[in-house]
Amino acid sequence: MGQPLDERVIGLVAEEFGVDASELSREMRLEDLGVDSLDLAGLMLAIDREFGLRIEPVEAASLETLGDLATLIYTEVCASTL
Amino acid sequence: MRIDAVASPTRYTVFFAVESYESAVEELRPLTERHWQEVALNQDKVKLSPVWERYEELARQGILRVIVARNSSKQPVGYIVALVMPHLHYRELLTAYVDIFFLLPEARNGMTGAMMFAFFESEMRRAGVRLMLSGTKLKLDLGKLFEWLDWTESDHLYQKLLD
Repeated sequence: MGQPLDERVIGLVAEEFGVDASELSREMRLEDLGVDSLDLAGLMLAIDREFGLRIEPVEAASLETLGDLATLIYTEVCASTL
Repeated sequence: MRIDAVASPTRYTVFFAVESYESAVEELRPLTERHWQEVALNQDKVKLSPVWERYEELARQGILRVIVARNSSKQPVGYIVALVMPHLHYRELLTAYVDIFFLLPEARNGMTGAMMFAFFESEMRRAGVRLMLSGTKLKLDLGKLFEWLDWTESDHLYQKLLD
């Protein structure tokens, strides 16, 4: 069985932003990570590579929490393959 | 798609607009100084001294486009300045040559930079531009941001200062 989606997303965020995954949670707000557009671009490119999902900037701007990001990926990628 | 404002996390709500060079230039001058301090090479040998009258001339000719990012207090926090004209090699290809772009570090949190370029793109589309060209400093490489915004890397720029 593969790694749960939330863990994969949090793992990617941790890797891209150079933070410990144990410090991240679904409830954490992206704004609290202190990242800028360049950081977020790196994350979105990593998500594209990992999940084959391109998230447009306007769509990314509407995401508030890491949970929102995981839910979007689940909705667009995982659910569509059911 | 039009993007008129973006809620930049925590401290800023930033609004974007096309402004006339004449109305914006005085407010933008202090930002150009900070911009230069952050990214310019050879600062000990080449001081910042824009040829403002040339910018005025380009504005009068309708070539200059100035996008200004302002915070909720209407203070400028960033800009994109571009020259819009037919490509010299391809008459039919209206091209936006990005001259400079900058966001104050304190305004960079969150999506502000990406939204500034998304706004720029929407305005260029509205103006009939078919090609946008921009460089990025190796010192502050925004390649990933451009890639995410669906720009394609096409050239490398070299320089040699002749003293």
